[in-house]
Formats: sequence, C-alpha cells, structure tokens
Amino acid sequence: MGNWVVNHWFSVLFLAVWLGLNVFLFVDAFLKYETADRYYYTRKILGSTLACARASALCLNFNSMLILLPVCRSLLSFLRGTCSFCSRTLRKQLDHNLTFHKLVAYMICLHTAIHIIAHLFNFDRYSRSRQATDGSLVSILSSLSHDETKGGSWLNPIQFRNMTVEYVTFTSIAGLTGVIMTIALILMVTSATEFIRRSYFEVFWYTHHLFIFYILGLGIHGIGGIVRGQTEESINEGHPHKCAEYFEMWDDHDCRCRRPEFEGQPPESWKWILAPVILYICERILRFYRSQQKVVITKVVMHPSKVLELQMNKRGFSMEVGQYIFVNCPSISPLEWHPFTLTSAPEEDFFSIHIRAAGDWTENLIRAFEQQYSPIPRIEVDGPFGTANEDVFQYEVAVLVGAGIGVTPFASILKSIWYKFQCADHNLKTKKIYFYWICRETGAFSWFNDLLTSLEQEMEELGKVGFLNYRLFLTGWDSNIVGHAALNFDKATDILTGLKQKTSFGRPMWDNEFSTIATSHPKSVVGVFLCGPQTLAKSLRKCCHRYSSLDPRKVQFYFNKENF
Amino acid sequence: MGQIEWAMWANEQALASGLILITGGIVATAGRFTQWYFGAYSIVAGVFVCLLEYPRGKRKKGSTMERWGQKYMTSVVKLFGPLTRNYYVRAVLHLLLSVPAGFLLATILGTACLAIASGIYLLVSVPPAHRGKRTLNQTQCVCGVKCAVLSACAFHVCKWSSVSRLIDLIPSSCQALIWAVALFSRGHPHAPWL
Repeated sequence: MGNWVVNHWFSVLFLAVWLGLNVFLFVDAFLKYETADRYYYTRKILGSTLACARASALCLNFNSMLILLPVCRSLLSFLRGTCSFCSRTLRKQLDHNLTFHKLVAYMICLHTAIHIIAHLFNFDRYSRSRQATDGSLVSILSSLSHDETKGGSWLNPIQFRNMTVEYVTFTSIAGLTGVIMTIALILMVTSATEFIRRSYFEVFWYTHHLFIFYILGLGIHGIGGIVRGQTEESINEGHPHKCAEYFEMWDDHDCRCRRPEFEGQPPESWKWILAPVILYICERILRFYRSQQKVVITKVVMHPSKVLELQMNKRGFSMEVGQYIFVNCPSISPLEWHPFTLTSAPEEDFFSIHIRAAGDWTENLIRAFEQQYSPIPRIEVDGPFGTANEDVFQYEVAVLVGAGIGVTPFASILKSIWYKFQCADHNLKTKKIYFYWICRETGAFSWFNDLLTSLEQEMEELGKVGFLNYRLFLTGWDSNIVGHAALNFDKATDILTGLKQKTSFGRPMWDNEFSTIATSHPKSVVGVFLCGPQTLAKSLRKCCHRYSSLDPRKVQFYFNKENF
Repeated sequence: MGQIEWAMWANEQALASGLILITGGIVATAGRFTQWYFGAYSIVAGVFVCLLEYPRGKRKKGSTMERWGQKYMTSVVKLFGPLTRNYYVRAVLHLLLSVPAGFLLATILGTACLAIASGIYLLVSVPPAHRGKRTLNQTQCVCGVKCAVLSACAFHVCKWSSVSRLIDLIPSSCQALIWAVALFSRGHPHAPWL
C-alpha cells in the first residue's frame, strides 16, 4: 500500500484537484442560480432544476476545455522536452494523457445526462405554466410578450399555448444544437469502447472526428439566450422580493411595481473552448505540415516471419530513444496513419521502423514493398512523439521487458548504448541494464539476433561484459525444441539464436528476477520499462510495489508502460 | 476497411440506446410529463433491447471477449433462433421499437440512437454478394425511403399533438403497424395491399 502511494501520489493529487474543481464549479453555479435575485422569477416557474442545469453546463464548459488538451501530442512532447529539469514523477504523468482524456470524457457524459434531465423538467414546467389559465404568477410571467416592439422581454420560451416542447426543442438553436451534440457524443463513446478500438481501429478513429460537431455545437449552443434573468433596470424599479406578491396589480397605473423585464444570458461556452480549439488546430496543422515533408527510403529489408524493415531519411528529422512515428502510405489508404516505434538509434544517420504483418494495412504495405518490379510506394511520416522510454538513461539501473514485437523500442535503446560506448560517453547515468525478451516463436528472433551478437562482441572488446545482462524466453516451445537444446547443452553458443546467452523456455519468474536485482543493487533507483500486454504489466507492477523499499534511500522500482 | 464487422459497433450502439431509453423513460414517468405513458413504454422497450443486445456476438475473425455474465442471456436469446440471429430482423425490430419513443421529448434521444443502430445493422445485413457500390446505394436508398415514409406516417398519425386518451392511440398504432408491415414486405404474395 505504501509503495502504491509513493508511485502514484502525483496522479492522485492531480485527479483530486480536477475533481475538486468540478465539484466547486458545480456547487458555486448551483448556489448562484438558487439564490440570485436575477433569477427569482425564473425560479418561480422552474424550481431547482434551473440551477441544476446551469451548474452542469458550467462543468461541461470546464471539461470540454480540458478534453482537447491531452490529445495534443506535439504539445505534450514539447512539455516533456522542456521539463527535463522536472522530477521523474512529474514527467511520468504525461504518459497517462489518454487515461485523463477518458476520465474527462466520462465526466462530460455524466454532466450531459444531468443537464439534459434538468432541461427536460424545465421544458415540461415551462409548458405547463404556458398552459395554465388560473391567473397565477407563473401564468402571468409566461404571458410576457415575445413581441420585439414591446421590448422582447419574455421569460417563457414557449410562445403559444399549443406549442409542444418537441417543437421548441427542434426550432430553437439551443435545442437543435443540444440534440446534435448529444448524438455526436453518444456515437463517439460507443465507437470508443475498448473492444471496438482494439479490433476495428478505423471505426473508432473516423467516428471520433464527430467531435467537430460537438465543439461547433457547443460554441453556438447559448446564442439564443434561452436562459432568462431579470434586467438590472427592472430590479432597480421593482425588486422581486417586494413586487412578487403584488403580481395581480402589475398592470395597474398606481402600483409601484411594473411588469418585470427579462434578458437572455450571453453565450459563454466559446470563451472556455477557444484556446484549446486553437491549440488543437495548430497541432493538426503541425502534424499535416510535418507529414508533407519528403521522406526518402534508403533501404528496404525483408526479415523472416514477415517483418519489414524500412530505413528512411527526412530533412530536419531528429529523434530520441524509444520515440514513435505515425506512418501513412497514400497508395494503400490516404487517411490512415499508423504508429510505429523507431528502431534506430539517434546517433545513426537514418531512422528505421520494423513492421510486422498484423492486419489489413500492414499486410498491404508489406505486399507493396515485396513487388520487385514496381516503384517503391511513397511514405509520409509524422513525428517523432515521445514516450516513457526517453527516461531510460536517467535511471542507474534499467530493467527492459519486451514481449514479442514489443521489443522494438528497446532495439533503439540498445543500439544507442552501443554508440554511446563507442564514443565513450561518460555522461551515461545508466550503470547496468537487464533486458528480457519474451517471444512465442524462434523465427521472430532473427532480425534482433544480429544486434545482440554485435553488442556481445562490443561488450567483450571494451571489457564491459557485465553492463548488459539479457535473458531470452521462448514461450511457444515444444518438446522437440527442448530436446534439441538439451542435447546441445554443452555448446558455447545457443543453437536457436547463436548467441552466448542460452535461451530459456517458458515465462520468467519475476519474483526471482526482482529479488536478485534488489539484492544486487540495494541503494539504487531502478526503472522498469515494459512494452507488452496488460497482464504482464500487472504482474510487473505488482513486483515493483513488492520489492521497492519504503525507505527512499534504499532500492526503488519505478514502473513505466509503453502504450499507443 | 473491408474486414470491419460493423455489427459489433451496432451492438454497442444498440446497448447504449437501450440504456438511454430506460433513463429517458424513468425521467418522463417519474416527472409525470405530458404523455408520460410513452415513458413507461420506453422503459420496457429499453430493457428488452438491453437484454437482446447484451450477449456480444462472435466475431468472424479473431477472438471475441464476452461481456461479464452474458452466458445467462445467451441461452434465452438463442431460443428465438433465426429471429434474433438475423441482422435484418434486428434492424427492422429496432426501428419499429424506436418509433413510439419518438413522441416524447424525454425519450427522443433513445429513438435517434436506436434508429442509428438499426441503420448500421441494415448496412451489415446486405449480403456481401450484392454489396457492389451501386447495388448497396440503391438498397440503402430504398430502405431509407421506406423508413422515412414510415416515420412520416407515424408522425401524421399523431401530428405532434397530445392524445387525450390512451384508447385513442390504438387505431392509430394499428394503422401505423399495417403501414410498417406493408412497406417492408412489398412484393411478398401475402403483403397487405395499400
């Protein structure tokens, strides 16, 4: 429990502040509309649901402002880069941008529900008070004219007795934009569920662009001024607390109280969303501009197990370890952009990605590059964008875990280490690296083999054999492979990979690994980096909590997960 | 894009619509709005849609994650055999269920969402052999026209006005139902003649 607090205190604080602001804004607006004199007469017709609707509207404005910010990737990368002096914990929060985006979205859904339910009651009450003929206060207030020549100081938006609430909803700006916004929101949410996102990403990505309707609708939602409060002049002439009870005599000449006059609220949503919308538009323009820069493909390598390596060059492109880029191939699909981690090191004069056949787009891409006699398809690149792996050299001890194709960010890191050693970079904080690669089939090892073989040789030449400690785990083993390995037990190199380090079979026992690392480095800060499935993340996170000491001077494990 | 199983999204959308119908119905009934009995209908329709859509269908390609506890509902849904398995039937069923809820403001959102889900199911139920560009557009147009005519008829029947007694609704609903059956079974030897 203590370890959880130490690892998550900033997230908890951030979320508490956000929730606190939501609660504060809701309560503040609620009390304002419940007690203000301006809305005295409005409350006579509507009751507390007016305050409810306005309070949830304010929270909706606040959350709509926040929702666009976590998806501005370039802005977040920029913050990451400029905040290198900030502590590790602060920068880690930028990893959770998508989680925050989802939380804000849930809050928007909740407040939309409250807002709609409150307004349903409001419309029903307006409708009833319009139809009331008993000369009560509400019926007199409702009969205030909509006629512009008499000042247009009406209160009840329902003009005529036989006007239905449905008619008002679909003919007023507020109602129509409200319906459009809500339908856009619902479609966005249903296509963004985990199942749809993971299985049919395009459905999610294209439907999510309905947010444009949401934002536009939000901007013009309040233009009609349908929420009415008494004007200043009218309150000065006859304060509601004094005049309300004499409503029957408002039309008499000798009564000091006149009929109250009302005006609509000016729209304020646009003030909340203007800045984030501009930031987001800049973000998209930047992404488009970067994607239009020419990309030169210098080398295409086809590895076994249907893995395609592309080495490319682009003017002005500079990267850090573990970053990813978005790739688009107009000849396959003009609008689809897919993320790939960079597998080259920053010290190299090209950047490369390894693409595995995992769906429609990737299979078509690999097939297009396999054609020997047709020209190479054009590629557009956007990025690079940063993730947690940029921090790997800030830790004294780093534990890198890659499952299957999840090893790609670590390819970049290991290559970078190789180059740093060659330049004898003494600024490298990292003193030791533990690398675990968990894979199902042997074929997928091959493209990584060369890298590990050269690293092995490099370490031997420089006399730093202990720097990189790697273990390879084959989870898709069968008795044939194991039998073969057992027979060749005495050989110096592994029969499957040709590396000095023998391949292990099955999954790693994390408890053993973590306790060994904790005992070998009792006073260090250890960074654990994972690129792999959620179940593995859970067990690694648990081990990090279990083996981190409560004493901040002793061994501390920090967990980072790569997510797209 | 060719391998997208739109029915999976239609399922999520229909489930969400069911929940929205239930919520709208509860609000209308609890608040005793005008014509609140549409709200009561909406709750029942919403519960039915949720129960029908809760079991997630199996994907054609890849593994499907079941929803928690869906095995209890799956056995009931399977009892109806082709009625529930067929996406065209589901599309028409959802469209018909959504129409009555469209008469009340509190539940109109549920109507819109369920109609969209119905539209997606309709898109899926066009058989792949006929899914050429032009044929698809033609089928879609025809279906769209039918739905529009049906909706117009339903609105004409109730004319956005308050129905003073529930009993007045029955002949109108019967008329609407006959129109619905006629529109969707045109050409069938036993179709009602308009």
